[in-house]
Amino acid sequence: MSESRHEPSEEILNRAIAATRQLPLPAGPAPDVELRALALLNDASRRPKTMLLSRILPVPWSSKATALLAAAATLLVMFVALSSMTGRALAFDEVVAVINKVRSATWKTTTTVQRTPEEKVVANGVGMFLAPAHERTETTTGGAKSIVIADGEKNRLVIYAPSTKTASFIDLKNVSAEQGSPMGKSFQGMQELVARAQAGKSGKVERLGAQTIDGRAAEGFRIELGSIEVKIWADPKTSLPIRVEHLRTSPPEVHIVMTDFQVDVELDESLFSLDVPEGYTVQQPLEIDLSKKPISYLAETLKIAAELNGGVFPANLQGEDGLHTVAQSFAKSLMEKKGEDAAPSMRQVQDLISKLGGAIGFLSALTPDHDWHYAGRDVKWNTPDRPIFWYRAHKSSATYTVLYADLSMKEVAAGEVPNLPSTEGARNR
Amino acid sequence: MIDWAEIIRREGPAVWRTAYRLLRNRADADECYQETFLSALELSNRQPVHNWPALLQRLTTSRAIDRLRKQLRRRRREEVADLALAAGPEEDPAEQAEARELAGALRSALARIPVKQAEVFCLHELGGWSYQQIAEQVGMTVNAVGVMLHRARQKLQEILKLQDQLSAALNHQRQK
Repeated sequence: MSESRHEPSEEILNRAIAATRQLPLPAGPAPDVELRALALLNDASRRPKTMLLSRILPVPWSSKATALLAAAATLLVMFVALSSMTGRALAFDEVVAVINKVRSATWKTTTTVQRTPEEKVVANGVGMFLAPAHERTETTTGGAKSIVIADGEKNRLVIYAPSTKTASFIDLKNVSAEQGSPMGKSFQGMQELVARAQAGKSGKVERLGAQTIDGRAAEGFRIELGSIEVKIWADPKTSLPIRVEHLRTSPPEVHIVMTDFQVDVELDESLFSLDVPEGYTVQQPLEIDLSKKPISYLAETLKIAAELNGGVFPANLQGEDGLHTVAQSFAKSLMEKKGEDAAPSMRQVQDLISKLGGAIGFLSALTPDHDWHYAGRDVKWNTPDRPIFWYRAHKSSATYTVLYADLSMKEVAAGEVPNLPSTEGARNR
Repeated sequence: MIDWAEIIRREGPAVWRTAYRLLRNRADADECYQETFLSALELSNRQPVHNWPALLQRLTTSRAIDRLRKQLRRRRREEVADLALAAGPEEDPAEQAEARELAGALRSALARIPVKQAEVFCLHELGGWSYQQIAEQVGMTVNAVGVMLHRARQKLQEILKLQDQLSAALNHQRQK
């Protein structure tokens, strides 16, 4: 445009109009966006018309918020899966002992969710931690602010959208005392991860050596846990983190960067309250049942995937045509239906997100040590005695959990694992 | 009972493309798309809708312009240099740089003129609507539409010219 500074004003405008018209446009929205819109319309249509729609519509279920919420659900279940698959309680080393003394902390965070190859959602924000398990994250994405408060004692998490005055809760059900709550553990969970890695309990650890990170001397570790990669840069003198990068490489790719850690700062308890402020509308809560084995999420999602695929299980669990496409297929199938059948409610959408998030979280937590295999390609749902997935809880486990095509599960001895060709897993055979 | 599935199937892609053309960002277009249908629902509760494609196009344009204005206000608050609204990170890399720059400048200018003028301008120049169609949908006379469009063009020309001169001056300074 700068080359045309002597151009008449009208000519510039006409060229700008032509440019706007000629820029290529994608064909339309992603199917899951259509699905959300349809669910919102159906839910809103069922409400009394006298109510002010703008006050009751669940706007947090916009694409950005859904992507972030799905990511939150995925990470929560992944954490649970990690806890349940790494065996016994961990011995904390010196580093973790130091960090565990921290009573409060703040940090900056950037979360990037790559929803499709050409579409990503970026959220910048600040995180706050108050012992024993309270966490508050304030993020801004696309100019819209959201506040997430997690309470690991109440096993409850709430997402506030101040612009629309709405509150969405995630409740964890049946949290065992032994397992503990994964909520409020962005900070402490990281410590546990370091401890596990350092103690050689899970994942591969690579020392990254000494470097200057964010202007400070730091020592780094790279930890690989299946499709999860975590880089931790810590201060060699204090053992406290300087920068943490968390990358989930399987779709949808999630990249979380935490920096600018401050510890033992003054934080008012009211910042971590779960009491919904006046004027906010509370949405239907999303529930995650921790009494379910993490593999149950996979089983439930595989059932949905098979239903959407003519009764046949999907070819792959991960990658381009992996399970994350279930939401799109679900949306497409609804768009092709008419009448009452095409009326998904927000509860159905939340239910789908919960199952899918759990399944992806479970898969993300698998490592080669779990010796997992998927053999569901071209297999029909309900085929008797047909294993479609099997894995072991940890390296020294004497048994494998086998998932069958009727979605039943059985523990079998290591010597009795299915002798079938698998299409995906730690070692295809 | 309105068959929303059918309306979304039939009109959804055009609604979304209209939003994307103005916002050039998938996430924003997704939200605009959703807001459009919710506004349409609210409106259909008050009065019967005779022309869904026209109503949805008008609502989308209006919502997208509203978003452009919010983006502009936010950028001003953040004191970010704003010769043109920045393109979304996921834009097609194959797009020509000049076309992208021009389209960005127009979007930025649209956020600076009165809402109604921007809406009429977009419906006519980008949506291809006739004066008559705009008059019927917006509730104005055909003459009033013509006047509004003329004013919109004048203001946009002024802003684009100014942006062009500023951009040229900045480039000149950088080259020194």
